[in-house]
Amino acid sequence: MDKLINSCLEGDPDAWDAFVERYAAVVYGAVRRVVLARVRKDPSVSIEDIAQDVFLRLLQNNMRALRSYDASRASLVTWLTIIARNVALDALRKKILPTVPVEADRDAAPEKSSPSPSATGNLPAGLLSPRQALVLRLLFDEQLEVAETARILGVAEQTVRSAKHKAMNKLRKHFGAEEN
Amino acid sequence: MSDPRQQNRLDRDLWRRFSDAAPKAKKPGEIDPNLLAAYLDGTASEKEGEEVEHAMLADPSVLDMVRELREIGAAAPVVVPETVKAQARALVPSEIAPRRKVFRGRWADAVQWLAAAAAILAVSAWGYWLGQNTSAMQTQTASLVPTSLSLEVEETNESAAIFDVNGGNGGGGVL
Repeated sequence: MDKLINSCLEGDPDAWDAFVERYAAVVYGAVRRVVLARVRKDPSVSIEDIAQDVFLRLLQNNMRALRSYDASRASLVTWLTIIARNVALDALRKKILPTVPVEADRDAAPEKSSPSPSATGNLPAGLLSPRQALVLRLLFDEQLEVAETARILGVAEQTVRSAKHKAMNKLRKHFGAEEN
Repeated sequence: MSDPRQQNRLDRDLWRRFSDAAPKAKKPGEIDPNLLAAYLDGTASEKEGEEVEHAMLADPSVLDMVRELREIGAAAPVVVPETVKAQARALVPSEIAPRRKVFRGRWADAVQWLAAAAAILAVSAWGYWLGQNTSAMQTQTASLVPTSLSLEVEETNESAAIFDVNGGNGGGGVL
């Protein structure tokens, strides 16, 4: 893997051919999914063109994007998927097409500027860890099942249940102490 | 035992009290793709994972991004149109000087190393030959020197050893 990337960065045309052959499906698949999730059927939107934009982004400025990939941290497939998604979103924004938002209600809901009267004021810093708060948000606000929450966070279902259990204990303890 | 649905409602209310009271975190900047990829692959450190999850908590678009990337990762492979590959292959920019290999294939590097080694050996051999012949030339040149001068040469042992008119040290090479 590193050898192929290094050869591409040295400008080896055979290596670039091999790179395209191996990873075109990753790029094309990611772009296709991002576009179809947002755009109604429109002949002016070309998934092929946007896929080309991804490869172009990798090569531009002396392959700056490809040089930024760190093989010691994550797989190339995952990294390419992220880049492809970013490029696809940039392309869609430039076209300023009418889109169907992935989460239609998210932007419509007004942001709460002040806590509700029933909420308590001071919360101890770090009462809940980001993981615990995220679990509760996904379970209660997004109303996801434990399995779906586990999939999003990339953890086992038992980890989600455990995080929820610990978080609720902390909240009960905190708000119970306040009420007393 | 309490009704699970009622318990769930109570838990949800507690969560709402917390999230209403908690200060809104600042929206994070753009997340480094390497960090995000490590998180998605499960190879991020605990601190890095917290950083990403904090961003997911602070910015709903980051949460959406992670969800979508997970879905993309889990999706079945798609068939890529051949035109996509062909156009991508043609994208190699002209400003990147391609490494023109005389030999192609897995043995290209080995062949090039052997060629370089052979060149070094050839130069060394030529230098050795040149050195040998230079000594021989000096020997023959010394024999042409008039007697009076050669006597001066013979006065020192070292000189006599080097300029041996009888063809001793120095190899006696042929011009």
